Amino acid sequence: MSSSAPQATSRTGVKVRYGGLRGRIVALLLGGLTVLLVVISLLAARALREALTKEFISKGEAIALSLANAAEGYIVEGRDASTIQGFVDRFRDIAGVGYVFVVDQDNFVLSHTFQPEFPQGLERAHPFQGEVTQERYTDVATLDVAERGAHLDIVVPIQQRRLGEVHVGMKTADIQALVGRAVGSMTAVALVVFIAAAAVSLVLVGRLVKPVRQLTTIAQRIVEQGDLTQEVAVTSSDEIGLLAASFGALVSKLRTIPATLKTAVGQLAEVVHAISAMTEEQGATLSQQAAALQQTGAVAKEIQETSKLAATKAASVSEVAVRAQNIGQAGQRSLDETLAGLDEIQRHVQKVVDRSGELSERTGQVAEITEAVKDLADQSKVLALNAAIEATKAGEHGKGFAVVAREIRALATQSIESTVRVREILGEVEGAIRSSVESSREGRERVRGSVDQVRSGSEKVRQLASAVDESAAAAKQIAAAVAQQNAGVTQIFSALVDLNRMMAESVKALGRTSEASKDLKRVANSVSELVSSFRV
Amino acid sequence: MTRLVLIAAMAAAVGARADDTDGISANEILLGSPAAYRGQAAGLGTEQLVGSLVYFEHINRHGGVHGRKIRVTAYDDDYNPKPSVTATLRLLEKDKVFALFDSVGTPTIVELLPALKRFESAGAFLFGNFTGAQPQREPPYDKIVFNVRASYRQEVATAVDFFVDKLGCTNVCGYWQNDAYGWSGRDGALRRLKARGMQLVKDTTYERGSLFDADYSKQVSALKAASCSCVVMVGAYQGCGGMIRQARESGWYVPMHNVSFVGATQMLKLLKEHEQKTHKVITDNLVNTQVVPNFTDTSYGIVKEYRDLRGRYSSIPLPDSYKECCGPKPETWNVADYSFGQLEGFINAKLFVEILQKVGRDLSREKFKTLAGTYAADLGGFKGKYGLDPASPEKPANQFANQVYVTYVKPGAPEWLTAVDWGQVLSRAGK
Repeated sequence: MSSSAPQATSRTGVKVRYGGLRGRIVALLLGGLTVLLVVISLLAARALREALTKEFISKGEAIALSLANAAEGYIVEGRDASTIQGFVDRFRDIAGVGYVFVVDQDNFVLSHTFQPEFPQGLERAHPFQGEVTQERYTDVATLDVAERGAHLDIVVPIQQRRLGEVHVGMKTADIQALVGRAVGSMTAVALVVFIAAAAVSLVLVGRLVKPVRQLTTIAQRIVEQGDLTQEVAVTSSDEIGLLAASFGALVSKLRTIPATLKTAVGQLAEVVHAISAMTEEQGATLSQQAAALQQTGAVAKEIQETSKLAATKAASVSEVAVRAQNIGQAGQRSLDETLAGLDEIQRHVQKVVDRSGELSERTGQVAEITEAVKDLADQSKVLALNAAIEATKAGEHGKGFAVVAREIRALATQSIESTVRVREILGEVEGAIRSSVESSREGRERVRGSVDQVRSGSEKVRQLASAVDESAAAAKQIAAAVAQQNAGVTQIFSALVDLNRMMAESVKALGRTSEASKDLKRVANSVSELVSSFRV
Repeated sequence: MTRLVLIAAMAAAVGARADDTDGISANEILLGSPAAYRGQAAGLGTEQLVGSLVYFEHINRHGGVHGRKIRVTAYDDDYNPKPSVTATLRLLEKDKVFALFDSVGTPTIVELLPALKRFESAGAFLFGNFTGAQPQREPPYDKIVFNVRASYRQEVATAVDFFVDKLGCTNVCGYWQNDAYGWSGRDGALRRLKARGMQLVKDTTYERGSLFDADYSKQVSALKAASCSCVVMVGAYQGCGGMIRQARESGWYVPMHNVSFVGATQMLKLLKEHEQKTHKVITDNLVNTQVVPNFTDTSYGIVKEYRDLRGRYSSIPLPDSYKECCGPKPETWNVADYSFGQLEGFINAKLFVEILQKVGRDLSREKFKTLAGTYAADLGGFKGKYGLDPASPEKPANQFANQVYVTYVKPGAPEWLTAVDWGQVLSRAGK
């Protein structure tokens, strides 16, 4: 059962415990047998004990009755106790009899088999109680006799107890011993059966398990050495034979697998190689793309910056244009006022002319008027100066206007000088009023020319303002276009960022593909190794 | 009762085959001895047989009895009841002996008697037996047994009287072999004590066949515990000797008595050997009642004759049957030079021969029994008579002698001494 236990640890790490299959089957069988035998023994022991107890009691009664019968006459005749003892002696050696004693009617012990002495009080321990009848002429009680153990005390009265009693003690220990012996021999037989069963079952189960062991050995060799050349040589016609046949078929099936695998692995290796190369290429391309994209990003960034700057610039141009517009309008208004002033001058000159005669009278008044004209001229001069400055600001478009403004200023200056000369002339008017009227006419003509010129300057200023307006509108349009462009650039930029991220993911995915391809390669290698470990 | 009826029926059935003249031939009278010749009781049977054989040898050498020599077939019964019956039946049925002679023991005789009773109609009888029990002195066996010696009842009565009257013993106790023999002594002690208005304070027993070296401490302590002041003992020399040894070794020196059957000589031998081994005196205060005179007391004619003949025929051959039963054959007697047992056997033989001689040549069992039934004699100082004796009502009719002799051991003395002065018995007075 246990002989195979020590080497029953396979290198697969599985421990064959409790003696393996054979041990367990045999143990189960023997366990069942043991239980059966124990139960049978116990039942038999019980039945035997009951039967023996009855038998012992019946035996004790027979002895006691026969003794009582024999003793009766001797007691009546007052014969020597040795005669009764002689009878007692005849029964003492009978199997199961522990003691015999005879008492007289006063419970005096006439005869007994005890040594070294009669147990104290035993003669009164179990008297026959009641009347003797046809049915009841003995009594049984279990007495525990000092140093002798339990006895079944059978009492039989002699002559209805008038002459005493006979007591026969049957040893309950003897019953136990007999039962023990019976159980002992049963156990011995059971043991023989047990051993025989053990031997037979060991052999049978061994025979049953042997093919399984052979299969195990073959399987172990396949596992340890990859030896698929082994033949399964189990030929039994039971389930294990079936198993063995299947196992054989399995082994031969297994034999074909390594070859197939080898081919497949070769193909796999090639594919893996190709994938690997492709992956590498893709990686390179992707890297290049990534670099380009990076550059594109930088450029886009620059464009974005530039665009922002352009927008700012456009905004400020627009602002300047608005300001120029405002100034133009102001210039227009000033020109209009100048024109109106010139008209006034004209009228005054006219008046001068008209009133030439009055002029002389009113020379003082004219001087004052001339003064006023001078002030106006001063203002015009200042205006012209301002206009010139504004024209300069208007750039190329303001150039003509600047010339006009200069002319205006020159005219204003000349006006001032004229007034000065008027004043001087006025000083001299007194003297030369007539000439002055001529001169006033001349002056009137000249103012008329100035007004025309101012009128045309004003026209030009108006044209300039409208040009400025157009320029401002253009600037606004530019700013709007720049803003639109900026939004577009931003969109391009965010698209670039997305692209970049996607590129990174692609690179990562490519990396994973590469890893997978490496794994695949490894797997292919190990499969290849595995295949090469089989001997077919 | 049933048993007796059965025995009677069986006796009627086979009686015809036994004959009144069985064992008698022209020149021989065959006797059969069922007794213990081997085992631990071997001494008992052998001593008695040797005593008888010495006298028969003497008679045979002098022409026998009326021309017939006396031959003895002896079968061992191992001092056990069943072999005793076997031996009895074999002697009566097969060997067809004239009479059973020199049986030994009470447990054996109580079994032997019913067997013998079957042959009563053929006149079969037992003459002489080494036991003082009552059954063979009482009906229904009183007509088929001729006892020579006094009974245990008498011996024990003498011992009780001796202890109480002479030694002042108040607590009389008993120690018995646990069988019919011991119970015979117990019965005697109880009767005597009852007659004296006393009680048996305590009694203990031992198993027949117990050896000298066995353990008797339980018996000793039981008796000690009961404050016994003297002990009446009825048993065999090994069991009683062992009890004495253990009592003395425990420092208990009360007077102890044994009856004749104990085998006083063998017991004293065991005790003295033990004394020599341990250098401790254990033979004090021992009393032994005997039913024959002291074999050292040559003042008795019978003792003198016994010692003379014992010396003369010291190498008489063993009976063939003895050798047969008890081989390997001892070439010589393995017995004491002289003993009470031998003397008793010697007396049995002498009385038997005397009656035979009185019957004459024309011998039959009935003639022998008829004559013996009233025979009276004085055998060299050992007197007795068969039949009732008004002078001693205790003596059964089928018992010859009545004498009980008290002997004691004097420390240092090699043998039992006959007590003359009771005081000399107690060597350790007061202990």
